[in-house]
This record gives sequence, structure tokens and C-alpha cells, in this order.
Amino acid sequence: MRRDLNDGGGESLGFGLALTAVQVLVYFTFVLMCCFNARGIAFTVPVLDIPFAFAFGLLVILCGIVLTIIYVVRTNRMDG
Amino acid sequence: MKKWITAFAASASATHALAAGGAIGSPSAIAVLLFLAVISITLAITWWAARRTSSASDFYAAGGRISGFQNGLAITGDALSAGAFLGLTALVFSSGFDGLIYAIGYTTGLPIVVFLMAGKLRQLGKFTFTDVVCSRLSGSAIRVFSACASLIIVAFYLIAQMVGAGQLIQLLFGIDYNLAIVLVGVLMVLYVVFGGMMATTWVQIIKAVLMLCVGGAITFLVWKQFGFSMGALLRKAVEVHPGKDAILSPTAFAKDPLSGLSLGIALMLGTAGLPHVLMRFFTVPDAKAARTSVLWATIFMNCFYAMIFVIGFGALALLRTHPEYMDAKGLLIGGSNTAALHLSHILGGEIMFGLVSAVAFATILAVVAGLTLSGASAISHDIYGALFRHKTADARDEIRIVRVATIALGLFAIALGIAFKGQNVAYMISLAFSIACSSTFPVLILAIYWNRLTATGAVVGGSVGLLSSLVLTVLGPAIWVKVLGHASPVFPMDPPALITVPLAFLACVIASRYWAPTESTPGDLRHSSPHRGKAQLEANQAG
Repeated sequence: MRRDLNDGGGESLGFGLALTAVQVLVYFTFVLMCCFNARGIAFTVPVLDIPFAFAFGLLVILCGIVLTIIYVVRTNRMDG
Repeated sequence: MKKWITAFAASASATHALAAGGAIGSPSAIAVLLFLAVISITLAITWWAARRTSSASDFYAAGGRISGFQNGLAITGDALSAGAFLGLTALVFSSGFDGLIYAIGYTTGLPIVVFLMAGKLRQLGKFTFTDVVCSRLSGSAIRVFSACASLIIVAFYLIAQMVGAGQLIQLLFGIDYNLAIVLVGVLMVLYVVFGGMMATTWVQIIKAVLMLCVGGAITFLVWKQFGFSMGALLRKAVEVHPGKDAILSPTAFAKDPLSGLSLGIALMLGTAGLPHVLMRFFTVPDAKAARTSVLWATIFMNCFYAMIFVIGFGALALLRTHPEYMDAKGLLIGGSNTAALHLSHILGGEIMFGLVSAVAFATILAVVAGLTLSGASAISHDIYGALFRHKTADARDEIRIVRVATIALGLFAIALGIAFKGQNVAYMISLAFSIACSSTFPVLILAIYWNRLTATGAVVGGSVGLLSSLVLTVLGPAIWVKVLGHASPVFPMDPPALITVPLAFLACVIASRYWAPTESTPGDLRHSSPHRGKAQLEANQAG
């Protein structure tokens, strides 16, 4: 079972870094809000009927899924 | 001896008291039946896997025959420990939104792993993350360091799981704590010694599927009670919790922002440095499958952590209106970690309770098996296989060593599980995460992306990260104040990741630039040049 040395060929460092930056930005905005502006995220989002902190938290979780799908689908397609 | 007897008597009477109080501690027939089913199914898998495990590659990486989807489930199984399910539910039950921040943090690690590491790990490594680091850096110091860092992380994680397992099984089935620890230890050794990675992987897969189903069922049932309205659930929670409105927004994080930020870093980057999770990338055929497996793992894991929003607040809102699950002091019977189990009893009676208990037990078995395999691989493949026998490395010999290492680790885990009985071991998970994000993670990232990293730089930087996170955690609130009983912590931040992660990166860079590089021995198989490293690896794998 020989592994192809080019099997990381579809991998683009720039793309990976860009998605990492988005993930870090979204997550740490959330963490910083929790740490330094807890009152500011306590208001209720009218349509969803839940506090903004909850909606933001779910957004962080969703963001991880969406970014991972984008990265894997694109990279694996370029990988052939 | 007297201490032991008192402890035994205390545990026996505690179990008896619990039996009188509710479902917990009085083993229901369904729970015992499912408990035995979990044991027999996993042992049958081990027997099946043992017949397919002959080479070193079979043992460490299931021969690279696991598909991306299967491996995704197995990663989910590795990452969702009993702590994630029972621990997080308990955390939300007692402190509301603060508990959810942990759940959210845990979801951010795996995407980073796939963006920056998964493909490269597959290109450079063979069985363990130490292989990846050593494909770029030469010398035995870095190999020993990486293997030791893996072992330390695995050991802390393992102790926490063992103690949790003992308490849980004692509560659920009325088995004595020490016996429960021995049972878990024996089972995990059996899986790993005979079935290797193949058995461990399938135990993880089954457990992950069970856990996702049970989590989904509890979420559905809780939600149904509140007319599928999260708003109604939260209003009920605020009504019954003494903290009122405060449970809907971050409180501990706002009170100590630096610790909060530090925890945020540890939750994200710690996942990216856990050796037993990284090891899973070598069980699939290629980099493409490695990425596909993270894709599935992220979807499953993130969905599960999103369910914790409903499960946690469901426990918070429902349990407090059922006094039969509380003791005289108004605390949960069996400790706060049982919140998810009590909740399942409210929702689905004995059947649901038995099912959730059996899944919690399967979870513990799967996680300890994964940890043991990872620790044993560090001993046999990284330390013994590469250092003492690297010229004449014989696969059969290596498997013999890994089996001995597994049994030794099993005994070690049983001994520590008994020694730490009754201790609050939550800080050990935090220690494992702190050490992972400030030692293995910086070394791995720099080894992959910074071609001027030297072996000396990696050892110095990794050791600085490891030791500083260990020392600062001991001096911090979790151990210095809560365990050792001092009035105030020497170091205020808990966990120390905010300081130790940058420190480790800085030490790697400084030592690489200003410390004379170590010479590689002539004829050494491992080389500092990435190209020669790869060529060597290819030769290894072709053979």
C-alpha cells in the first residue's frame, strides 16, 4: 500500500489559511463578547425568540460545519 | 488498610442510600441487560478484528482500510467522551450558558485540523503524530520528546476517564468502585491487545452512532415537552433556576475575562494537539479520505454539541421541578454528573434510562481504548521501535512490544483510577488540553510550515510549553486553591493557555535561530531535509 506523495496536491495553503482566519475571527469575536461584553449579547433576538448569545453560539457551531464542507469539497475535487 | 475499609463501607452505604432514592443505584433489568449487550458486542468485534490484525500497519492503523465516513464516525467517537455528554449537561444544569461556551469551543478545533493539518499529516506521517514531526527533524531527542508529550497528555486524559467510569458504573449498576475500575481496565486492554486499531475503531463507530441516536432522542423529547419552542424552554429554565436571568448569558467568563479568553484558546487548539485524535488520520487510505473523515466528524460532532443546548437546558428546566431526583440538600442524587441520566428517566422511564446508561458505559470504554492504543503506540512505535531497534525494526517484534505496553498501561490506569478515587478530576482534562495546545500543537504546526525549525528548537519550545502549562496549572486556581487548599492562587489564570501557547511558539523560534543545530548522525534514517524525509518515508511505506 504505497501512498502517493502528491496526495496532498489539491491542498492550497492560502485557502486553508483564509478559512482558518474566518473560523478564528468568528469564534474569538464570540469569546471576546462573552468575556468583555456579556450584557451586550444578552438581548433577545425577536424572530428566533432566544437570547443573542445563544444565536451567536449556534452560529459559531454552524460556521465550523459550513467552512469544513467548503474546504473539503473544494480540496478533494482539485485532488482528482 | 483501615482507610480502605472505611472507604469501602462508605461507598457501599452510598450505593444503598441511592438505591432508596430513585432509579440511580438500583440496577434496572433493562440497564443490566444493555450493559451486558455492550460488553458482548464489543468483545465479539474484538474477536473478529483480532483475526484481521497481523502486521504493524494493521495494529496501529487498521491497515489503512477504514473508509472516510467510518473514520469520521470514529473521530466523533474519540472526541465525544462521557465528559462531553454527562459533564457538559451537568455544567449547563448547574450554571446555564457558561456550560454552553465549552460545547461551542470544542466544535472549533477540528475545522482547524483539516484546514491546516490533515493533508500534511497524511503526506509526512506513518502511524503517529511523532512520525510527522520526525519526518522533518532528525535526532532522537525530538522523537523522545514527542512520544513523552503524547504519553503525558494521554495519561491525564485516561485518569480522568477512569475515575469518571468508576463513579458512573458504581452509581448505575451498584458495582463496587474498585471492581468497576478493574472491569473497565480489563476490557480496554482486551480490545487493544487483541483487536488493535481495527477493534478500537469499530468500538468507536458503534458508540458514536449510539450516542448520536440517544442525543437526538433526548433532544426531541425535551423539545416536544416545550412545544418545539426554544424560547419556552429557556423561560421555564429562568423560572426554576435560582440564578434567574443570569443563566442566559456568560457570567464566569465576564467575571474573569482573561481566564475566559485563555479557556477559549485551549478549547480550540487543544483538540488540534490530542494524539489519539491525530492518530485517526492514519487509518484511512489517503489524504482525500482523511479530509472526508474530518468532514463527517465535524458534522456529527457539531450537531451533537448543538443538541447540548437543548439537553443541558432541558435538564436545567425539568429536573428542578422533580424533587424526587434531589437529595435532602437539594442536590442531584448521585452527583451533578448524573443530570443527563435523570433527565432520560423523566423523559422515557426505565427503558430510556437503561439505554442512556449503557451508552454512557460504551462511551467510556471506547474513549479509554482509543487513549490506551495511542499511549501504547507512543511507547512501542515511537520510543522502542524507532530508538532501540530502528535498524532492524521487525514488525512482529513491534506488535509484541505494543501488547506488553498496552497491558502495562492498563495496570497503570487501574492503579491511578483507584488512587484518585473520590477526587475531583475535572482539572485533569483541562491539563490535558492545556498541555496539548502548548506543546504538541506548536511543534506540529511549525514542523509542517516553518522549514527553519530545528530539532533543538522543537524540543526546547515543546518542553517550555509543556512545563509552563504544567507548573502554571498547579499554581493556578484549579489545583493550588481547590485541591491544595491555599487561600489564593499564585497564578490567577486557569487554564494558562493565553500565556503558554505564545511562549511555546516563541521558544521554538528563538531556540531554532540561536541554538546550534544538532548534527544528524551519518547513516541515520531520519533526515532534516523535507525531501529526503519524504523519500525515506516513501521507501518505508513501499516496503
